Amino acid sequence: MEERLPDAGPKAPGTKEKTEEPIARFLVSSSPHVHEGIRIRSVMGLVIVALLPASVFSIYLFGLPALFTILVSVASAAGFEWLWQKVVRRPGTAGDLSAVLTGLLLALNLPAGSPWWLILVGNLFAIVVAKQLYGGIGYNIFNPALVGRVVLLVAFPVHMTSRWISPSAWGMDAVTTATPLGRAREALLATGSVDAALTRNEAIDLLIGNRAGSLGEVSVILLLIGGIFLLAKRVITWHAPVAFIGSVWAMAGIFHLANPARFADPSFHVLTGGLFLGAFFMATDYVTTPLAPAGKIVFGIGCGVVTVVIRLFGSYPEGVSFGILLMNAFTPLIDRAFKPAVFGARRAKTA
Amino acid sequence: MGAGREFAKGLWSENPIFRVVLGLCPTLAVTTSAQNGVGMGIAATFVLLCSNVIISVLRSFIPRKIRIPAYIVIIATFVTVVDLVMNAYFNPLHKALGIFIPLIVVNCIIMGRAEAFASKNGVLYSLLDGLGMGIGFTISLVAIASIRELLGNGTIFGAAVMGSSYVPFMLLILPPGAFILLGTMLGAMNRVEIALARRAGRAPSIRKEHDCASCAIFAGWSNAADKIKALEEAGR
Amino acid sequence: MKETFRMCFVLTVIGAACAALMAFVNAQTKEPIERNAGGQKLDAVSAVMPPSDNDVAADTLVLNDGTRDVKFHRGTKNGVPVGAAFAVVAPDGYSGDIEILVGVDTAGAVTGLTVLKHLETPGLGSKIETPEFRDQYLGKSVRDPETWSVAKDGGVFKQITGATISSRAVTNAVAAGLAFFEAHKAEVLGGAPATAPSGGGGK
Repeated sequence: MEERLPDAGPKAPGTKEKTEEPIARFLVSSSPHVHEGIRIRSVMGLVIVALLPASVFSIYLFGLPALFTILVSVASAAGFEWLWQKVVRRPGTAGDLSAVLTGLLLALNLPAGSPWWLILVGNLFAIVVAKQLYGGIGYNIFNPALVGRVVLLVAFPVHMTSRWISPSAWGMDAVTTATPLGRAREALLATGSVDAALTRNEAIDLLIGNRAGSLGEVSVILLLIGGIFLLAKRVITWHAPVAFIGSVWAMAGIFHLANPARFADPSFHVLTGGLFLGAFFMATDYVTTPLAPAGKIVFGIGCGVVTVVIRLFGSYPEGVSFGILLMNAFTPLIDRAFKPAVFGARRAKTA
Repeated sequence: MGAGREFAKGLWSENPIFRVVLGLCPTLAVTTSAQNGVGMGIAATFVLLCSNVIISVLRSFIPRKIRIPAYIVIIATFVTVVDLVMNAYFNPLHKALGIFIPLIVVNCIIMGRAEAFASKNGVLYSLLDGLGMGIGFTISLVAIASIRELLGNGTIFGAAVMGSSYVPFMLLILPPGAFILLGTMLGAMNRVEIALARRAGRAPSIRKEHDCASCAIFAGWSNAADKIKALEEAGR
Repeated sequence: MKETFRMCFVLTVIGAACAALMAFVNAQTKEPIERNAGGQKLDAVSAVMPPSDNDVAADTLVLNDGTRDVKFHRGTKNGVPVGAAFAVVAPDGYSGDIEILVGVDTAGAVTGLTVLKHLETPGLGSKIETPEFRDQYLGKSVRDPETWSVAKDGGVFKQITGATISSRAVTNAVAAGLAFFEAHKAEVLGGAPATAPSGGGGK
């Protein structure tokens, strides 16, 4: 195993290959991607398992519309992946569960009761545009689920920001309401101060998920449990989530200290919106975030800063997805600055 | 044989937007409605036609050393003429296209044809070349603009065609939609060209810098294999 | 030397010919362009005001409402005031200030309204620019309706779905502007206050 150094590894110094052309590698790898699907599948499987508590809870909270959203999203993501591979005649990687995970993550980023066509358009952009057009898993620069979400947010703002259902199990007497972040902005504009100083009860509500929001962002505790599960399984490392959440807390804290009436306290910012979902499940994606630990920390801080700036000063109430996508774009640069350890080298040492 | 070919090459085999990939600034910026596409296309075609003819006429008169300033003066004159005429007689369109009319001066298509074709060919061929390139540019603009207007606004040339239950896909009207659509169309055109070339048994005429292997994004993204490796490592 | 001379000569000839062509086109298009430009300058102001025949761009009066200067454009026809236009600012939009140009007749009823500047969310708050939203203010004045607020707050103005904040901000700003105009009507319309009292010019 140690003998078979990955093709991306450094070339032996003696070889007389033209190092001028990194492109040549891509020509070779442009059509059949041979990789160990089973391994990818097991990682994806673990992440899906980690998302299950929050997903099930969202169905309990929002009822059938939430179940509908999740099922349609997962099915369409897997469907588009399969269809794309049929169309371009590429060997199937649909079995590696990464499309299923993308579909699930996108569903958790949508409001319960999203219409079917909205979910389909989102997954079309996530799977086909953001992932496959870039070359499929490993080559995509942006997190597919987040691209799907942001495309929907920009294209259909009414459906994405103003039809939140307040939790009332099984959606029978669901009323539309604002998300906590939306309410804070509204209170600020109406009364000149954010009415979001957290009382103990409200903090508990936010923690367990008794609030309006997209499917996956409501229960901080269950997302945290999922995140800890992934940490324990060593699927993710602590760097990006801690840097992300920490920098949101710190930056919101600075603004809050400067002007408590205008800016909500940092705990509010940490507990609301999609921060935990983004920090543990998207800022830790293998493909679209840096490899080296130091790079992950830089990535997380960048996400946090952008998130807070958009939440406080932008024309959208929530900035987590924009923050992660912007930092995705910086990932190649961060990777260049913080060279990851060459894979295989570490194992060779221990062997 | 030559005349027809010089005209037709601008429509497909050397289409300025989809094959040569020039003039992208107006292509991305003004194609929010089909009407803008037509207006921009006609304005550019007029300038291209006039500048090609004049430059071809004067090609032996202009010393090589000063050809670029001479071309620029000629092109800028015709752009000014178009600008003034549109301002006077097509005012609403002039307002909609705004700065992009004066910017025709720096549209690479026009300078490109002057330098690459009109300065070396006779008047008739230069005229046909300019006309073909201009019409190819116009058709491409209208194609992009129609898709953007249809999906992003539910209308074509301002007429509602999608029915009242259609929810406009606003992304396409916004700047990112222009990039995504243009990229998708370029990819599709390459695809068609490859298929056509295969059928005709020739090599596809795709410039090296326009295929994915030469893409700067991929070149900068040399970690892709590492990323997959890391993913597999985690699955052990 | 000869070559240099030739180059200068060629460029001069081309430049002169081009200048001549441009001068010709310029002369031909000068008049219609001026007509269009004149129309444009007054476009926004005169579009919201009742028809007038004076130079509404120049006939202005600046009053301070306590926080900022409000510039009133006065419209007259045959020397008789027909209305005014002024910009109001809504500081409480979703994102940044919203600047709205309001036109009124001599009775203080809204004759037109246009959004000059805003940074609202595209597709949501940006819909304050649509005629569907703006037109509901036409004919309304400071005492009609009784309460100036959006439907969600019990008023008569329909808020934009998903953009209550923007709708509310516009409504409040227009109401405040109308009240300010009402309080200074005599000054603004000036010159001929005799025609001003209610019922004078309006509906």
